[in-house]
This record gives sequence, structure tokens and C-alpha cells, in this order.
Amino acid sequence: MEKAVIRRLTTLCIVCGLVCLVLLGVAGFRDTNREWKYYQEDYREKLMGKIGRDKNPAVYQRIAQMKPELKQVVVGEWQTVDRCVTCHISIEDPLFAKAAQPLKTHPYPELLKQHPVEKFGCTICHGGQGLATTYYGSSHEPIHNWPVTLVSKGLMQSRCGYCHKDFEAIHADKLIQGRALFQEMHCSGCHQINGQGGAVGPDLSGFADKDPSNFPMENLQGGRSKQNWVIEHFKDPQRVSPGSSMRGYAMSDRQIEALASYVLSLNQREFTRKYTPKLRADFVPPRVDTVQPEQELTSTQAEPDGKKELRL
Amino acid sequence: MELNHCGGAATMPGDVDEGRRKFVKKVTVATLALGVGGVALQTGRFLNPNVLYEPARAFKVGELASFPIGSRIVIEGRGVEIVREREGMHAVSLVCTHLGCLVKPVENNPDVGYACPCHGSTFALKGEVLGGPAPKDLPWYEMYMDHTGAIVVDTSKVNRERTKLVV
Repeated sequence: MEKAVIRRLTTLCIVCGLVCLVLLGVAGFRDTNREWKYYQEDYREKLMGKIGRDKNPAVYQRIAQMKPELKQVVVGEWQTVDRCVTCHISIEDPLFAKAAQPLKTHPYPELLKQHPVEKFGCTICHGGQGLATTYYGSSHEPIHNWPVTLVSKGLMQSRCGYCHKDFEAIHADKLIQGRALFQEMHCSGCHQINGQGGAVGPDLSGFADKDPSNFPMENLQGGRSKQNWVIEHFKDPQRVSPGSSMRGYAMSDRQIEALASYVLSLNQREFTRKYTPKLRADFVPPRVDTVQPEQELTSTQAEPDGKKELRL
Repeated sequence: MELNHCGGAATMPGDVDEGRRKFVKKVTVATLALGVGGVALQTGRFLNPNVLYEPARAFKVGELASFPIGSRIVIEGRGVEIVREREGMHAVSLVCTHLGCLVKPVENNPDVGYACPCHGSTFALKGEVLGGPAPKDLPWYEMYMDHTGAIVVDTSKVNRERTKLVV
């Protein structure tokens, strides 16, 4: 009886030990086997093929000796560490203009030239998780309960507006349209931006800086991200935040995108001169609460009696 | 495979099988050694980070065209100066070897190339220490041109031979 117990215990010990060993092996393997290593290996091989040994032996030699390593851009200005370039290693390399992701060159090289990766990093424009080194972890798609996601194509201009407050100067059509919509629909009747406007709804001055974790995400149909929250909220405010006094406005998808881009560009960050775009000397940010005269309503008949009395 | 053998031996009840005992002992010790060794290895790897919170040590400084012959251009925020002469170009560290202040390039002086504002160390045009408390010469960093034509300086590698990049 006792012997049998001891025998069993011995077997249990051995099995447990082996299981622990296997787990340790798996941990070690998963730790070493990272997806970015394959991308970098792929890049190295493709680049060696493109350059050729004969054309430029010195460069070829250096590329052949390249070893997979974590690459990152540290930007002290906005405290980011962007490791996107670990996978998107050829983002500035014109040879990879037609390659598949993640090796594809940036689609707008002239834009990248004005905003070098080494100075700006990636997430200041594109959002997402700069520290992550996997496709999933860097939040290319919205992650449940992790609302800092990559900025979608339609809302990219919202990030231009972080620094460029003169929308005309950078030809940001969506931001211009969004600001015009903000004025036309008299959003400032309820919402304040930089001290202009009413106080019925929340102040939107620093909307882009607002912590996304404070947004009610449970009623969203799409992915849980701040960007999607804004879009769905414009479509149907009552559904996204029940009990809100904001009503829905009839807008096309393009108009919603423009207005969302505009409100998502409203930040109150201060940048040092190195990162502040040059402004025209006479640039004054347009007022968002401009009163638009409505011709039909100026006649006396249209004015309700109550208003007349108030004037007295 | 050997685990199967062990399981097979269990069909003999009662008897003390010395061979089996030895085998079990060996397996246990081997498992322990492998496990502890593996844990130690993984812990060691954990202590040696893949990457640090610091700007990349190798960085692009620009195209060749932005460094005309005879120019000395300080790269802001990186503490290096790119010097291009007729024979080639090199990257010299601007961090004083004394206490780490940024030395200032001295213009139009054939003898003194760099002067430290903190304690007055002076360096020759090639970075050799001339005077003051600095104990060592200013190091040169490895530098190369990548396939896109950009000049890259790698501050993690010191160019001890002081070879110039011929372009």
C-alpha cells in the first residue's frame, strides 16, 4: 500500500517535472519566435535581391550581416516610444514602394520627408500602440477595452490638426469642412471650444486629449475606439449615450467623417518650437461660434412675439 | 520513449527493481537540472534587455548633398559633428571626455578644433586632446552610406582606426 503510494507520487513528480520543462520550453520558444524577426529576415533577403552583390559590394555586405533587432523611435516631445519600424522597417525605403505590408514604403514619401520618422515617430499621426511589436498588440484594429487604436484612413486628417491649426495652409479639406459644419450647425450653441460657445454640452476644447477610457463604449456597434465612438455618436447620440440632450443631425457619411476629424483634432497640447509648424504672421484661428445671419428670419413676421418682449 | 519504458516496468508488483530506481533517480535529477538551468537562462535573458528607452544609437543624418566639402555640421540633439573634407568624411563625438559637456567647434583656427565650455579642455581638429582636464581624445564614430544614399552614423561603434568615409 505505502509502496504503491510512493510509486504514484514518484510518477506524479516526474510527470510534473516534465510538464514544467515543456512549459519552460514553450515560453522560451515563444519569447524568441517573434513575428517581427520574420519580417526583418524577409526584408533582408528582398533587399539583397534588389541590390545585388556586384553593384554595390560594401552595401551588400552590410545588409548580409544584418541581424534581426528591435528598432524604435523615441520622441521626448510627446513621450512616445514607437517600435512600428521594427516591422515597417522599409517605411522610408523607395525600393519597397510596391512591396506587401508590413514592408511597403509610406504611400506619401513627400509627407514623410517633411515629417521624418526619426524626429516624429509614427503614433503622433497614426495612433495605435507604439510600444507593441505584434500586429494585434499594436492595435491595427480596435482591441476590446483598449481604446487607443490606429487612426482609420478617413480620420487621418484629425492628426494633422494636432499641430497644424491653419487648415487652409495644409489643404486639409476634411478639417476645413468639419469646422464649417461645426459653424453651420451651430454646435457652439451648446459646446465650447477655447472659451467660445455655450455651456450646455461638454467643453470640446481638449477633446483629442480626453482619456478614451471615460467614454461609454458599451452601446457601440462597431469596434470600441474613441474614433468609432465619435462617428457612431454623430449618427445617433441617443443610442451611444442614452439620456444625452444632444439630438441626431442629418449628415452624410462624408460629413460625419469631416466633423469627426475636426473634433478629434481639438487638442490643447503645447509643442516646443522644434515641433511647431510655421504659421502665417497674420493667422488668427477662425471663431467657431460665428453668428450666421439667416436672411429669411430677419423679417419682423418671422420673429416670435416672445422675443420682442424680451428685447424690451 | 524512455518514459514508456518506465511505464512498462510498472507491471512487476512487489519487487524492488534497482535498475528502475536508478532510472527514476536519473530522470528526476536530469529534469531538475534542465528546469533550473532553463529558468536561470530565461532569467538571464530577462535581465539583458532587447532594447532600452533611448534614442536609436544608429541614425540617419541626411543626404550627402547636405554636407558640402569643407563643411563641419553639428547634428542637433545627437552630440556629433559631421566633418567633410576633400579626402572623405567622419563623425566626431562632441561629448567632452572629461565630464560629458558638449564641446563647441572652434571656427577658423588651424590648431584648435574644439573647446569645452565647462573646464576649458581643447581638442585638435581631428579630436586629439590638446589641453585641459580631458583625459582622452574625442572618439570618432562608425559612419556609412546606406543603399538609399543617406549617411548613417552608428554611435554604438567607435571608429578606432579613424578611417574616413570615402564618398
